[in-house]
Amino acid sequence: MLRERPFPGFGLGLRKEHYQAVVAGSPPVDWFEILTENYLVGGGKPLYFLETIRARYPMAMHGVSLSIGSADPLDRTYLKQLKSLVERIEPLWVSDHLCWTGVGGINLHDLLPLPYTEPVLTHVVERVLQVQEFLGRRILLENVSSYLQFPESEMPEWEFLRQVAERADCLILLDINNVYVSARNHGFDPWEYLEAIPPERVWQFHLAGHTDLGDRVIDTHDHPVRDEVWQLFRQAARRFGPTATLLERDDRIPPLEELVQELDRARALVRDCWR
Amino acid sequence: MTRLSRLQHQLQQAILGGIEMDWPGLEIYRDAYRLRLTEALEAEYPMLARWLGQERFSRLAFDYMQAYPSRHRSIRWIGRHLAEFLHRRGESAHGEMAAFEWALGLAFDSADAVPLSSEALAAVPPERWPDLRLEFHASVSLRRFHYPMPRLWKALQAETRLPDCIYQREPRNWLIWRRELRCFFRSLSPAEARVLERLLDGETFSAACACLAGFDLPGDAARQMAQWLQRWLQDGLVVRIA
Repeated sequence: MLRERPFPGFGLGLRKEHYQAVVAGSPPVDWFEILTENYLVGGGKPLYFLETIRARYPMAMHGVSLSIGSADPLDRTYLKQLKSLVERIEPLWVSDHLCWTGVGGINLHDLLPLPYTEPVLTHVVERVLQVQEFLGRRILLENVSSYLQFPESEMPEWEFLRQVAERADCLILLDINNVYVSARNHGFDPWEYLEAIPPERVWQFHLAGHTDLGDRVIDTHDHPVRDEVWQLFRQAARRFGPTATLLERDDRIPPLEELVQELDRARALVRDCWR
Repeated sequence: MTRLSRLQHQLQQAILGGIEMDWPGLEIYRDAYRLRLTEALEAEYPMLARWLGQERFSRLAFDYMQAYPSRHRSIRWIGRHLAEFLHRRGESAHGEMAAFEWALGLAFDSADAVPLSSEALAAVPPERWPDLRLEFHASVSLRRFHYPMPRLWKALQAETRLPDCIYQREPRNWLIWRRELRCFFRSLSPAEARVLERLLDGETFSAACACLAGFDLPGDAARQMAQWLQRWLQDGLVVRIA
């Protein structure tokens, strides 16, 4: 049975450039999302700020190294570190990506797409079940932006994502920008993607900026959210109802107030439909 | 090897630059990989990057990535072999700069611990001293530099004129550590460095003192040790006695 979806409101990705501003100014942000791997260290500033900010705001943990789709075995050391951070900060939830990041022990530190086939689906589902069993909680998996496709894919990405979520009983972090980016790169209708995703499984949205090169769109996270993505966000808001919404910025990071304003735009855009 | 494994190995090789493949979209991943890892290395080695300049640093990053692709979950660790890599290429001064910046990075986010107070150490009965072992804060490390290392690093940081980068036969010893949230470094005499090295290796107080025999000390060894110890405690280097 699916528990009712929590709605903590509108959050920002916590970046070290904003530590001081967050601690000094207590900005009007409902919650923060941390990049898990940045805090898998012994101590010092990262953990100091993590705990200080956690004492004031709810937090979600977002990882980039679970590599749930890799042919390599799951990394038990990483899972143990993940679990101990979960125990330390008691996050709203734990998320990672529906992708692979490397094979043969190598990490490319990128979110690579998978071939969407039945054997890969079984492989991913089995691993999500193992991770959830180990952590003692369900995880959220995020759709990634992609720039290449595999000829062997037997189903569209949205079908694959839906089936992983349903078979492994996991949740979904729907990145609206990634849907848009991949739709442009691969020529599908982003609305078709959104319509295929079961609303009760979507516990979080991501919003971010991208770079439009005309024939290619790259998920750069170095710009404000673009109008096309705001538009898709409004459509998603109507379909999915009140959903925890998070704004990400990873490069050319502006002052915190700018991101708080951009987050206000997200709030304003969905005010009428999430009332 | 499964079909998935084969496909992933193939694509990974293509991204790492090992094989040429006609795969639409591949170049985006390949470029992103180079850019991301170069940026991550620059974050760990900001003054080395400034010293070499953008172009040389990018080339170095590329060569390094070929030799040491990341095997870590966190991108923070990708640069751990850079000093060694530079030394092996015969770029010793750059290697020492990398070693210094890496030590600072290790001090920055190593495990927290409460420093031992002078009172706690004073309470130890004299007969226990010879067998005493000290446990140091995880941030503490010793480095030896033949080139004017922290000076060069400081000049790069301040963007002032760089000191001459001349090789000295006798290396100088440097201590690097963190106190609360700040990182520090200071030079050490050869004798203090030797004792500290022994103690960091887990040797007892008497064994560490024994190595002072060959040094020409200003006073007697016991008094010198007491002075050093006092300073280590003040600086928060020691966290426990065993």
